[in-house]
Amino acid sequence: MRNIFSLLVRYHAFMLFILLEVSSIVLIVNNKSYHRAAFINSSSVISAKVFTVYNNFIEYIHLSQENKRLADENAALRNQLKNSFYDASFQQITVNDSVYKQLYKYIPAKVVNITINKLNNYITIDKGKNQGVDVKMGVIGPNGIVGIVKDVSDNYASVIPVLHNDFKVSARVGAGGNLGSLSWNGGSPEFAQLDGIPKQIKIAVGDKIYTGSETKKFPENILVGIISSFTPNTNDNFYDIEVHLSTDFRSISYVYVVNNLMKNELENLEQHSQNDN
Amino acid sequence: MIIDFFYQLIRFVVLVLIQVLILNNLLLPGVFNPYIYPLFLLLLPIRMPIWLLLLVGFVAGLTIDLFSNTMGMHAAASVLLCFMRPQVLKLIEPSGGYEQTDKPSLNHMGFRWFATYASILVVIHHLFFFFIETLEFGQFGFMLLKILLSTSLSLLIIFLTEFFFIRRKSR
Repeated sequence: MRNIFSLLVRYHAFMLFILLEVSSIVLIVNNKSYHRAAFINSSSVISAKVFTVYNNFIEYIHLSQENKRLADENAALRNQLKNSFYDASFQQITVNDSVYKQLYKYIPAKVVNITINKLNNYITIDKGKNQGVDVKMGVIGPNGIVGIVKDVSDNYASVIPVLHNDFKVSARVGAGGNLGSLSWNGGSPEFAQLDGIPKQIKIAVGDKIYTGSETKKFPENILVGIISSFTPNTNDNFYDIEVHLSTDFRSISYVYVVNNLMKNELENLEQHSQNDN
Repeated sequence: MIIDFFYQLIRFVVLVLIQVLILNNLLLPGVFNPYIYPLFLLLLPIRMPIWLLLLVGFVAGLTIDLFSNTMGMHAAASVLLCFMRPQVLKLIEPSGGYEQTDKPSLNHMGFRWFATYASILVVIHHLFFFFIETLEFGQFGFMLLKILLSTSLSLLIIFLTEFFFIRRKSR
């Protein structure tokens, strides 16, 4: 017993070193799991507060740009309003519409922190559980998809953007084209890679990429980007496609969290049929 | 003693803020990830007991992790830096040993000593950090380039910071 004790005293520095390294590695490994709500991350209270204060300063610098962007988006939305269409049919009868039920709800949020030059990047937004944001919800920006919510705290959420190793979403070439899988290889923040488009399909540089229909996180046909280059892969039957992302992560500051109102129903149904097999 | 403690605390807060608010948000190509916060660990007192050094390193690393969503990575690298620090100090000890009043800064020890000291420890820190970061991606060529360029940039920033705070009387 005395020997063990004296050993401990003699090598206390080394033991402490090993202990601290092991705890760090445990933290790293725990943080990897995608669905677990990580205890400490940028949606935690202190760091989110610091980022919010800092962001409020920085925002003034980009105010005019941001106003222009919002005005553009307002104009685009205004174009879709009923009163901006000419009513050609006089016989039309107005009915209280119960045919269409709302499927997606959008929660506007402000980006308080974003990294783009790491291998695993994160975005922190200023809406959380109290505003209806939940994990695994999709996030889109004015120009296209942004990412998926990873963790939520009461008033903040951290988002895995396209620029993250774990990010994957099904995407198609053109509206109604073939489905592939979009991911990011850790390179430039302007480009992502689309996989799984068969070689016999005809594609061209400049083709638009949209979100697929079977992803429940995003509405169908949200813009992802355009094809900037592609090469047929020599090892398999698919193309290697470079996609120029439509969202500019360097300048993004307002996003919308997508709440699919029927997601639970869909998931329960799918779960149910899987259990029956 | 207490004044010294407050100096260290203020330096810690300032370096962490510079790191997370400015350096982490620089719009540089992905191969440039400079880190200035190791300067705080470099400038801790020479005679600090190693267990305290390790704990301070761990806490400092965790603080950076908290702000950059890299849970545990900076903590691991900082603890390694702190563990190697006494060895490096011994390695480059001037003949006659360290004086009671010596501080491991450019101001006290001169540029050649500080450059050796900072380079060795910052290289160890960056090597370990980028190694952990790359483990899951497996792009080792990219990692080597990143280590080389980021380390150079970090060291440049650290030296410039130290030059900025050099005192006139010691020149």
